[in-house]
Amino acid sequence: MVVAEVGSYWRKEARSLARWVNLWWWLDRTLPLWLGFNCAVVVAVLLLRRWFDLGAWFYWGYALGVLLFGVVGYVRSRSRFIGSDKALACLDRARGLQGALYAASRGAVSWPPVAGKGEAVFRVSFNRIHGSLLLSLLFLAVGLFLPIEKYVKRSQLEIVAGPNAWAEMEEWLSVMEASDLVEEESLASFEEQLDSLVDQPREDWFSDGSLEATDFLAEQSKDSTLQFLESLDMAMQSASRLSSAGEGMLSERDMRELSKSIENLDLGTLALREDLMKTLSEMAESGQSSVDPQTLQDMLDRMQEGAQTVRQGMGMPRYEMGPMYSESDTRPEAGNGRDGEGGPTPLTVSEEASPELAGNLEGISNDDRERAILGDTAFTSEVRIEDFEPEARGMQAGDRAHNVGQGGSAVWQTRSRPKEQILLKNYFGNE
Amino acid sequence: MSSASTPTPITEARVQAIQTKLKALTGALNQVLFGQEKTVELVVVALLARGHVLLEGLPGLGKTELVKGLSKAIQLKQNRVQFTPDLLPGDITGNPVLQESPTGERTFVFQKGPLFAELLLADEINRASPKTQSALLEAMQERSVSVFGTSHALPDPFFVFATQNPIELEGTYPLPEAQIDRFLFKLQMERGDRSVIEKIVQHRDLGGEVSVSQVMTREDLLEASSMTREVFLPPEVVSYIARLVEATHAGMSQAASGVRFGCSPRAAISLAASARARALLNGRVYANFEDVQALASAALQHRIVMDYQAKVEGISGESVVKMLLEEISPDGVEVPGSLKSAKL
Repeated sequence: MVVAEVGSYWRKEARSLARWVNLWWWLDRTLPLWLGFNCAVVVAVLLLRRWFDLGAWFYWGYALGVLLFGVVGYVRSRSRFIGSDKALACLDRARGLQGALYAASRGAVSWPPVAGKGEAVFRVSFNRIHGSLLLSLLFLAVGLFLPIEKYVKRSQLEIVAGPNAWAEMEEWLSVMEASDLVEEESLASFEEQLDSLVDQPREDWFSDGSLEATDFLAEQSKDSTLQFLESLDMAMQSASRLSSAGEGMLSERDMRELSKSIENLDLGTLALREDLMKTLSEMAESGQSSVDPQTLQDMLDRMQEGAQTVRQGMGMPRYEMGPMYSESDTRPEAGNGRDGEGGPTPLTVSEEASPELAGNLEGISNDDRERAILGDTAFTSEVRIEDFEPEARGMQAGDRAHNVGQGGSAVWQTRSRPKEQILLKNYFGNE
Repeated sequence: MSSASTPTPITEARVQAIQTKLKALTGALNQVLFGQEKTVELVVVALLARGHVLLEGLPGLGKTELVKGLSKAIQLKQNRVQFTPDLLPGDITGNPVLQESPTGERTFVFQKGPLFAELLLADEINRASPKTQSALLEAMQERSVSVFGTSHALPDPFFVFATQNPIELEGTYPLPEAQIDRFLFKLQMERGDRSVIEKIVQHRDLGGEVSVSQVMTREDLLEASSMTREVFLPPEVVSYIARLVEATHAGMSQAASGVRFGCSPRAAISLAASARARALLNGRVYANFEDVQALASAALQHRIVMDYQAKVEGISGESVVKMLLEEISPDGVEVPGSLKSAKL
């Protein structure tokens, strides 16, 4: 090998060494940045993949990011880079040439002979570089290949109808209007409240406040209707008795009931039509039928028909209005109500128990579901009310006992029901 | 003096020729001073670099014998001055003496002192007063003596080998730092081991004169010294010397954390000159990192002033230089943590 070739060889070796050292400086400064960048990319990719398919834009963006961090790493490591002169000195030391290389590069001596390839000047410490590299690739693989469920946009359910109670309210309003019994102003307030609910934004229709207001309105309408019908029923019965009485005067009790029913119909949430109210008021003031019978009958028919409309509209049992009572009839409170005559069957118990039915349990059917309790039973007994010992008293307040009985006998005498008293009397004997 | 970056016309053949003589000189000195090869090499380097040497060691280690052997091997005129507290500057430089001529005219004639020698052994220099020390050190730097306004040049070459005893410091005048800086090297004369002592006992008699044959002439020494200045000092080595000297200052390196004052530029010049001399001694026309590393301790240690804390902890200039040689990369190549030197 001629001298020029030897010099070229050593210079080439030096340049190669310089590139090698500079590359590792660049890697040393860049890989931590790349690792941090990949951490951020993983998070971004996992989020993006949920929404989008990663297309070429992502890979171009990633490449741009890597390039950017590569440039930053270059800027950070540039001050550490070595030139071929330093590399030559480094190579000289590594080969043990005692300065011959850098002296030869200055022309002081001839180039030392090339003695084989020689051992590498530097070894790579894999821990640092490969750790960062592997972690970066791992992060990237996680971001790209971790299974991610695609986000599917669920269509928003469109609210097309309000709560059922609104429809029921509207039906109730139409029923009430069809009955021709209630003043329009009374129904207008309900309509106004219902409209205010309907006019809300659709997304608020089923909000807690809206549903609560709807329930309140429905409850109010129901209570008002029941109260109205009760008052109307009372007024109709009073008017019916007046009609039956002909020219006679109503009893004081009927007058009181009529006045009360008129007052309720006037002051209730649902007010009776003004013409009907006027007729009833005239009757109540005069105490006798000051209107001609035909007009009275028309009024009763109209009221009965309207009440029937309301009852049917609200799903109530059919209401039959008839001459239930007359002055000669026993009062329903006396327990002698007639069955099978079409009127409501009062659920009353006679003050005097029927000896014939003593000891029997009877199921009493009552179609008036607004007032009756399902499965309610009545019991008849031969025991009289007078059998109770009113003086017998048990514990009293004031931390004092006043017991006039003897032991447990006082308890069953005062607290037990009649049948229980019989059982206890049989058990303990006649004490 | 040649430029550091420009190769000189010095040929390897000339270097080989002078190296032979220099090797003969070191060989002759090693025959006088057993077990002190390193010191002998450094003394020869100092001669080539035209530097003065401060020898420190206990009595009886061969300091005087070294100087005597050197003067005999090169045939240099040698004087010895035993420094004492009452020694005056004129005692070493010389004094004007009133003389009467045959014509009866009286004039002052300068009577040269022991300083006018090619090789001066200043024994126990720290026992002289600062005034006397100063006179000697001025001569070392200027290579001339001024008496009564007249400058008297010292012979060429002119070398001072000063000794000082590290013990019995009572009543001594330690050399100021500025004056210590004038010495090229400060060498520690170490006690030899048992085999060295056996060799000394076999070859030396008590009070016997050392016989050393001449191996070089004065002209050879001057030529070698001249060639030393032509030895190529590559920029890489210059950079290394500069970085080393810079690193001796506090805050410039970890090793110099206990340093109060670091080395001066004169230290860098001295180290560069001695590196050239060593290269010549080793038959090279260029200096290298190894030359610097071999001479750094001798050239720099006495120029480093430690702070009080470091002195208490026993950290010396020598230990600082050793740490610097490990800390400072000769080629200035820093490698990342991901690379490890395979061979260095």
